Amino acid sequence: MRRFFSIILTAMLLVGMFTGCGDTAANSANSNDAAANASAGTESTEAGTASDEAVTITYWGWDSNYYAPMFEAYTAEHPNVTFEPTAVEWGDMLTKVQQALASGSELPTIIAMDLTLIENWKDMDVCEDLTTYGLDKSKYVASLADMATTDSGKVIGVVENVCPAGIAYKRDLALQYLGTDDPDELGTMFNSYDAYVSKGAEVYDQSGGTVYLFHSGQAVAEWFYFASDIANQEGNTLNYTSKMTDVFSKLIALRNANAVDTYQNGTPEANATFADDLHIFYPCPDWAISYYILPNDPEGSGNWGVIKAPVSYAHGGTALGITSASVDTQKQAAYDFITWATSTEDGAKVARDEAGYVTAYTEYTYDSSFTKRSDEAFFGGEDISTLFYTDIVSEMAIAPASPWNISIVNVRNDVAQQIMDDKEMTLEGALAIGLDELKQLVTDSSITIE
Amino acid sequence: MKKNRSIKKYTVFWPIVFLSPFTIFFFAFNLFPILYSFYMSFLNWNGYSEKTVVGFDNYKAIFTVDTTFWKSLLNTLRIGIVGFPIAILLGLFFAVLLSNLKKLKNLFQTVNFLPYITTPVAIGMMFVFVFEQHIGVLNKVLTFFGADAINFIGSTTYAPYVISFLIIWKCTGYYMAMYLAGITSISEDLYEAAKIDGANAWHTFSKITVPLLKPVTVFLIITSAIYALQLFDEPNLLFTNQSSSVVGGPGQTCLTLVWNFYNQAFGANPRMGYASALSCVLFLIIVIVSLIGLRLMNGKEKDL
Repeated sequence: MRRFFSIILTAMLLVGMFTGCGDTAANSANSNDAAANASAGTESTEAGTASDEAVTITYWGWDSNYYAPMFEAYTAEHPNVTFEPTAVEWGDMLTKVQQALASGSELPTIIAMDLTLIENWKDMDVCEDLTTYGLDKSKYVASLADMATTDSGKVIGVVENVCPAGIAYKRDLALQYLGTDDPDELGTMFNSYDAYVSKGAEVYDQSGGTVYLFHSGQAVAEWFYFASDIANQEGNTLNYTSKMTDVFSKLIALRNANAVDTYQNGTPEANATFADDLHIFYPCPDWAISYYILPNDPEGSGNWGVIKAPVSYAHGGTALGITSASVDTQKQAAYDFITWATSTEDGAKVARDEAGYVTAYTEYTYDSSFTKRSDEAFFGGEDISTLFYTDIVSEMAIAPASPWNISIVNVRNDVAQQIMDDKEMTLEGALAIGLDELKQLVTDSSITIE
Repeated sequence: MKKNRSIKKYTVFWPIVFLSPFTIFFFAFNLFPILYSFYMSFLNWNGYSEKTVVGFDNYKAIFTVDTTFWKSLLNTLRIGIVGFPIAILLGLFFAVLLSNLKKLKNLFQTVNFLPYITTPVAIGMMFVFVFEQHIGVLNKVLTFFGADAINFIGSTTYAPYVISFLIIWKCTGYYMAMYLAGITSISEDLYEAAKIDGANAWHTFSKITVPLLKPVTVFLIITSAIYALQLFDEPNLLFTNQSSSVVGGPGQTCLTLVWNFYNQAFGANPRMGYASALSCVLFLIIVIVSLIGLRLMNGKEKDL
């Protein structure tokens, strides 16, 4: 009897031990199949559109405001398609894929790629060239489509939406401290960066030192960074000093005028300020409405407005790509979904109405009757659709990305926080600290930092 | 013949069968990664590109070019030197205090131990709610007494000490538990003899308790040093958030050795080969620290 139990116990140990190995082996076999199929990608394209065959698409992304309603609407129309989304934090996305590649584990079928890191995604070379599936990138907003295109012409992703940015404000505070809550009057009042400086000082004094124009130096620095038309990189040179002089000098002017509070951007306590009565303005790309304002100030309907920034700009953006590590049926189904989401009226309407995103497919982007948002009541009936998609989109410039964007953003965040923490910090001091940090972060000796 | 086979079965077959799971796992998940990491340290490789052998270039760069490595080493030492000695002393203090308690000893023991088993994510959030400039409890107290709020977490001056404080808060309970175990193993006869000889509480503590707890103290110092050199979760969670994360905290003052390694290996511009070299150097540092500690412990055994 004892012997019998010993054998059973040993067998269980061994089975337990090899169960994991078995899965890995199976996955490995799958990957091999996928790789083989990937190499035959063009055949899949020739196969044409998806059939009714059941297919499961895996997805990694951070923005459930967008992907959840899109998946739901698409599966309602295509019941044979099942989505398996995995929520991955924005900042962890690239790392997760790098780790998957280094360890040989599976990648999803569709991957969400932040445009800030798009050069890093290109370097990784994990995405299919969507033109081989028949994508016509000329039908998308050129500056955005170009960002997702490699030097060799490979299109690694389709940009989900255009990301025009303005400045959102709380109407009650604007009326109290600026004398008006009318977006046109406020737009005229704040038509230059200097106006923010002078009005910021006035509001601070008038409120007895309790009310600020902005909640966070990092948020303001982020605004100036995206609004600056200076490219981060030209050839092998990073334009650090010129770009950051533009950013930090404006931030220091606002800090000196007491126009900016010291919250760290994106923290729960900073997000709580959306509902307080101490901060008036928030730099606001259109996606921030569903991402920041609505969740953090659900009771604020009618109390928000949006004005143009002194320089119209775009902020953020996400491209959807298809990784090479899936089988042909999955890749074709993924392509069908991406094109449905971005270039068909049905998909673009779901994105607009459910997530507040306007597609970068020009037929709809530049159609003012299509871009009418459904959440204007939240903004007191203000026509923010025309503001974002006619006025701002037509003017906004998009600086090209650099593979060192994340290091530059890291330095920008750190120095902005230090500028706010140390009221004596000068522009020269801020630039020197940032330069020192950037030199440590940029490890490619062929890159010159100016 | 039959007997020999039966003996072999119990001395060879079954030991192999029962040791094989551990051995296989040890080779697969401990030894192989260490050796593979050592191999990678001689490569220029980002995790997905072609591997290029670069010899000792990565090691040379660590000791000649890379100022971040030295900065991270100094940060780690600074955070550790402030945090761990205080935690060990407090652990000893609470252990002595609790050992003399007649009632509620278990309750206080459990309460003190709780921080050690709290997940780092929760600790990160809790510390933000304590030290944050606007909503932090500590700043609420400061402003209540008329002082200005201090940006503890966003300041290059205070941020490293917040990590040190976090270590103290987290580890004191664990150290206390270790010391309590040590104290219970000290014979009561010694204390009674000292009492008869007229020793006061301080003499008893300094001449009996502390010397006899030396093995525990040495053990805690070694494990603390290793823990300090591997600090990552605490600073990383404190300074990582939705949209304004800063590698190394404000001014990189909280960039520890392992955080630097992690950023080199898995940042947006990864350098797996270089990061592997960093991990090998870190491994060497930990081995040296451990050997010094073992020597101290062996010395103690000889003394006894």
